[in-house]
Amino acid sequence: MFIPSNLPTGVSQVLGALLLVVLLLVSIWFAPLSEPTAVRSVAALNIGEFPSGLALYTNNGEQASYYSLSPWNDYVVDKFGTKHLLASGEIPLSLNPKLTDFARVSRIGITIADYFKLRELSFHTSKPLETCYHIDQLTDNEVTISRQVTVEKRGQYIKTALTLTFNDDDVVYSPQSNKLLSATTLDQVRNFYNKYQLWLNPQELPQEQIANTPIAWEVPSGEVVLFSPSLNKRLLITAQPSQRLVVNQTARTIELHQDIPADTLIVKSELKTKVLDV
Amino acid sequence: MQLVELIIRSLLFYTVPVVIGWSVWQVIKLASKPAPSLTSRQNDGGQKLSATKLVTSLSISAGLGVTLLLLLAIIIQAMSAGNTQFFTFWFFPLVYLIFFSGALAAGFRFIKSFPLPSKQVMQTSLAILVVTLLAYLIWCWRSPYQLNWDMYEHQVLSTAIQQGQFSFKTSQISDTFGFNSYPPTFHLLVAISQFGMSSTPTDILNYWQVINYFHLLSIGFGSYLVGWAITKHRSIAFLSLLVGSLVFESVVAFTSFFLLPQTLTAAMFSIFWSVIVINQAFPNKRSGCLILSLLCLPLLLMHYVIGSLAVITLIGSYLLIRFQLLGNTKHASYLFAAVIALAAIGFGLADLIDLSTINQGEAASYTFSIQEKFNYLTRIYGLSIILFGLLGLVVIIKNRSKSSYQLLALILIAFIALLIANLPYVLKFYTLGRFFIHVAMALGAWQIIKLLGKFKPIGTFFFGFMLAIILILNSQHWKTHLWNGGNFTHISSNDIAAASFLQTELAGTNVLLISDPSTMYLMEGLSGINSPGGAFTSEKTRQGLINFFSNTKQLDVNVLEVIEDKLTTNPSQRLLIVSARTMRWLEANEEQQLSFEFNIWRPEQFTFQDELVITQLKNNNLPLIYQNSSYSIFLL
Repeated sequence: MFIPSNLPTGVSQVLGALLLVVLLLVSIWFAPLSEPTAVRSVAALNIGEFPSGLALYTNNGEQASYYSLSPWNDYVVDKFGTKHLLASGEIPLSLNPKLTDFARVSRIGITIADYFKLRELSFHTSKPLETCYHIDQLTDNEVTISRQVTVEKRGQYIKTALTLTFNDDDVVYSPQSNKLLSATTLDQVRNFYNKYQLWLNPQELPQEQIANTPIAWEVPSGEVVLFSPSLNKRLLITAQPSQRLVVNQTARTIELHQDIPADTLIVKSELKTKVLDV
Repeated sequence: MQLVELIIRSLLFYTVPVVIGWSVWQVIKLASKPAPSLTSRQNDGGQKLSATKLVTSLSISAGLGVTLLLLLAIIIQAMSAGNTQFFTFWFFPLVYLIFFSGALAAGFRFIKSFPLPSKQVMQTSLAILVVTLLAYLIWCWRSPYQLNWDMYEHQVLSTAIQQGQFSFKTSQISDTFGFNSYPPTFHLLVAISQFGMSSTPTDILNYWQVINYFHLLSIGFGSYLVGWAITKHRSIAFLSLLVGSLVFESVVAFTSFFLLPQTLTAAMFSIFWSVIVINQAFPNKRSGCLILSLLCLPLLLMHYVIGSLAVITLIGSYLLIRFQLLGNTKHASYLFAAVIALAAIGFGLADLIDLSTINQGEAASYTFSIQEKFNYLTRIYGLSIILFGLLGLVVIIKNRSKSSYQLLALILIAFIALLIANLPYVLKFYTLGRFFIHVAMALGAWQIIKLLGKFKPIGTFFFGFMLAIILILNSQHWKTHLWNGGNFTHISSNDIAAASFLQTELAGTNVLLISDPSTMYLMEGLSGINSPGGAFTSEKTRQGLINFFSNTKQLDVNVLEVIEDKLTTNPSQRLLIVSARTMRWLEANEEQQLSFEFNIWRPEQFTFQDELVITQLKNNNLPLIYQNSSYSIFLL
């Protein structure tokens, strides 16, 4: 009906196949696509991809709390002591803003892979430094997120920090000393005590830090616990032997500092988190 | 519960009415000589049973069986004089007695000359089974529990019927049903198939997960039949099956994956309509009218509104075929003019009537603009409905002299006019209209696929593959907000644990659960313990809860003491269920809190602030009888 009947069989078959392929592709092409919603779960905590990086998050109704790992927070330090963020410029509003071009095809592929849980969650940025985050290990109550940074020249940077943000109302403390490391009100400390029967004393501020900002403490044990009221659970964050754990109270970040060997081009770091109250 | 038992239970939902209807139909046939020719058994002597006759016989049996079961329930309920034990004692054993007797009689009858299905029937059955199974696997992926939210209210009614609380009016069985959109025919079938089943919350959820597949199977079968009835072409019917199974109307209609009164009506309608067309509307006048009545009545008894439209379509189709009004160009022109005029008048009137206030304002949420409807269509079909649908229309116009295509065109015009009308809930009618629109799409697709010659199967595969991709995109979008703990779900293990506690501790007692609408809805559905209206609870109950939680430091329990179930008054005990959903509901604005439309769809867990509220409740000496990380249950 749509192709002249006097054409040779092979030609009409090819034309028919082409027409079918076009119709099928156009049919799919105009199907509305949602934002990628790749998420994994560790206990009641979600892990997802966001325009700024990966985030551990929870959303209860209208309220949501995010704990993000982002190249816009992570940094490297050069030999002059200057910090350089791993990503520059404005954070994009969408992971894949180009919906009208062929990125749409990959979006469809990503959505299908996400639906069947076939895709590894990751976040990638290339300016100014090639940086990639991905989930290394995921169990019912533990997650390890790895980050890989490719520097341009050996010896260009001497240190790097992998950061995890926390929120205003979170309680961060050292489980070894029970010292409070976040700016927490007395009411919050009392509530925390009522829940866990654990009284947290404030960490004394060293003399040299009194006048300085940011206020930050290194935690020698390499372990801190983050209590999230919205999640209603505690997360144990553990540094690797090669990392130093620092809680930056002003920036509300937990930072894992790590030296970069002079002969290294690819710097690997990881953040290990365990949900304590499962 | 074992999968085998769940499958058997699900099959009972369909086979009990069919076997009972078949048994009575045989008696009618024996009593009336000569027997109606179309359903007479002509396969004696080992001949293969015609698929047409088999489907016709099963349809009539199902229609008759459904009606008889409802009638039997009404009679026993009238005899019981309000004694619920009497109903349970007589109704279910009697139904199963007739069912097993009928099954035995059928067994004896067919044992000598078992109607062997032809190779074609076997191939078709296998195709329907495989396609629907694949579609259901896609849908169920990472959804361990069924996703039909309405299931909980239907389970409430089914549980009540199993306990002997039967009435022709659903609103007199449970106050979850504010008005009577249908008699409890659907729920009666659920109750029969669940009778004697272990009904733990997990069992109930699993039962619905399995029976939803059988429902998809019936929708796939109906889609195939409608395609075949119109075109008499197996490949087009198969394409119709592909569309019918792989398309999920994720807005309002929910035809394929959710078993509901409206969708069961649609499945029955698709099969019954095909039976009428395939049999060319039963030329024998006497048996034709009787059979038509037997097919129409159960549709009305299943859902008044959807059933009425289904009956109008069935009777209209019957009359057009029976009196040979189609095929004749002159008659057909008048008919088309009349249908188009009616559609135009109806469409115009729809704009003048404001029905948005129906059902406590819920109707307004179900009134969509044409742009919104188009957006939903592209969400559900991509652009395939436009592309292949338009190609299908070209085919219909090209075949305009054929009566079956004329009938299809008339029905399409009427349904499309209805669906684009500016009225609330009209998208519910899509549950019927989909079958014809899918045939149009199948006709369009076949026009292209047939060009491929010996590669037609490959073309058909890619057509199905395209539909599967769109189904995945649609499912991903629909399920996204239900993500919880690694699954897409309305229900969590905490919900199930709380419902199990209620069922174990309080089954059979006159206890009233009080909580937010969503929690009451879920807990009543899963545990069988009564609540005042579930998700459709009154404004008084909602306001009472808001007032109660407005000051948890100094509780005023009296505001909860006045909350009553509309049907079961003076409960022996009131329970306050404070769940994480309750907390999220309390955080919503007042308009949402008072709306039927607003629910907390996803499982939640208590936040730290929530626990402080619960501590305050405990400090006010409310006895806590159960607790997990999403639920606290108090005695009032």
